[in-house]
Amino acid sequence: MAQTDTELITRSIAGDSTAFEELIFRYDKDVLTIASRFTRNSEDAKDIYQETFVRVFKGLAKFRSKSEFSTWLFRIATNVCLTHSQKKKRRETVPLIEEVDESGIYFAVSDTETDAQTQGNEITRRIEAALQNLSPRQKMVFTLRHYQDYKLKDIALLMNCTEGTVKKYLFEATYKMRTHLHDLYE
Amino acid sequence: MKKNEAKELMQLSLYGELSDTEQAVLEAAMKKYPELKKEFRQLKKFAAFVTEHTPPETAGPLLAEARTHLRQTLRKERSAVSAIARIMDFARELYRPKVAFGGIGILSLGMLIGYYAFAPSTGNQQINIQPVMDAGKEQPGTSITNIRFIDNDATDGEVEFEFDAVATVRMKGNIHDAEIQKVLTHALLNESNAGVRLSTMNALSNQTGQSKHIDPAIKSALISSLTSDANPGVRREALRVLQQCEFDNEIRDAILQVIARDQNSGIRVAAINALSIAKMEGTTFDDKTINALKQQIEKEQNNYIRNRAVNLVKEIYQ
Repeated sequence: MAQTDTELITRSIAGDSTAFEELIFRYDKDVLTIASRFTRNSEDAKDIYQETFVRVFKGLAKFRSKSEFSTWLFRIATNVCLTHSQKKKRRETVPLIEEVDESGIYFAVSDTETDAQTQGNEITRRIEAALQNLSPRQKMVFTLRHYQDYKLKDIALLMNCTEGTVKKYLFEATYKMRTHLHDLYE
Repeated sequence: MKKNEAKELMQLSLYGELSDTEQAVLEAAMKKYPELKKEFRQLKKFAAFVTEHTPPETAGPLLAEARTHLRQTLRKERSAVSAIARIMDFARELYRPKVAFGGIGILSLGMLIGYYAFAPSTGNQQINIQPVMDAGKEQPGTSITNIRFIDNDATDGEVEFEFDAVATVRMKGNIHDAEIQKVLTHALLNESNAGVRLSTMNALSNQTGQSKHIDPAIKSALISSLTSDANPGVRREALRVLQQCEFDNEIRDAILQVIARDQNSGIRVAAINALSIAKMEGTTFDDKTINALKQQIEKEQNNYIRNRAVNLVKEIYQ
């Protein structure tokens, strides 16, 4: 019979690495999916995944079971996503000399791409561009509500804020997204 | 109710986050302001558009890659934690009064002996700083890089700088030699080139071929390679080498981990075969192994592997 999270946590704290893996592998796919949908970049998502579980590994002994393990874990993941996006913004630099393709020709799509694929890629690109206009917190609320189907009270719990604040972020995010994408869905 | 308030309620209504009372208020507002109905339709279209273009769930290969990397990271974290724990234990040991006073006594005695043995003479003293490497006496095979000047003003006839000297070291020795094994273990765990890791594995395979007993550090490195090396060829070879060692619980657990988690079906089959061979050689398996195999039978997608696991369970029961 499968062990409960609490049993696995106890074994993990005692140094059982197999138990720790069993525990985190119950939830790691969701963590990676949230990170991927938030960053829209697999490398960034992997970085967030790593940092989240290293923090869990280091902090597990202090976990007091006041909340569900999954809530605690996703709270860490959400926090890492938000701090990662701030760190990334700080790291971004402008090159001194802009690299220019001498040919001056850019192939946006491959020859074999179908019309449907081209259209799909264009919509994805537009959505990503629209998401870039949101603040990290607005983007996180939008991601958790629309892509992960979280309830607003759960989002408030993960982001350590009130439900009212979550609603505010969601309304702002929706307004911005609709403004940027109105020609695609209307 | 103001229109803006109604617009906010609309969005919450889409997510099913309104109470019955709020829903009734919203519907009344939409009857009162017909333009709100159009707005609600637009909002529904937007929500449907977003849902339709939801990015897919994380794909298996990305998750497998992330897990492999995580295992490596956690292994390093565990080593760091255990090193700190050892230092703390040592410090606690020192803190015991008898040990502490004994230590102070030995230290004082050492300082006294040192004072008399190496006391400076009364004549003129000259500080003699040996150069890291004499000019013109560069060791063969050493490359000098990253020269950093500390003093490049040669008016007094002297300059001072430091540099990194990187040398190729050739080692030749018995495979059982501790130093040789230390380097090989390091290569197994840290070398970025999979070919080198594989060559290292082959060298270790020769060692285990002669005796079933294996150095614990090497066994631990082999188990790490088996469970977390990114290259399937290296994992497969690690399994082969471990099969030559004396079968114990550590190896059994590593093999069960491979059966449960390795993404490569060939290696999962090889792991089941390894247990089967161990059974034929007289190893008895406990409930843990049987339960792990049964779990695998339930979740395994590959028919061949599932049948192989079923047969193995039957073999164990016989």
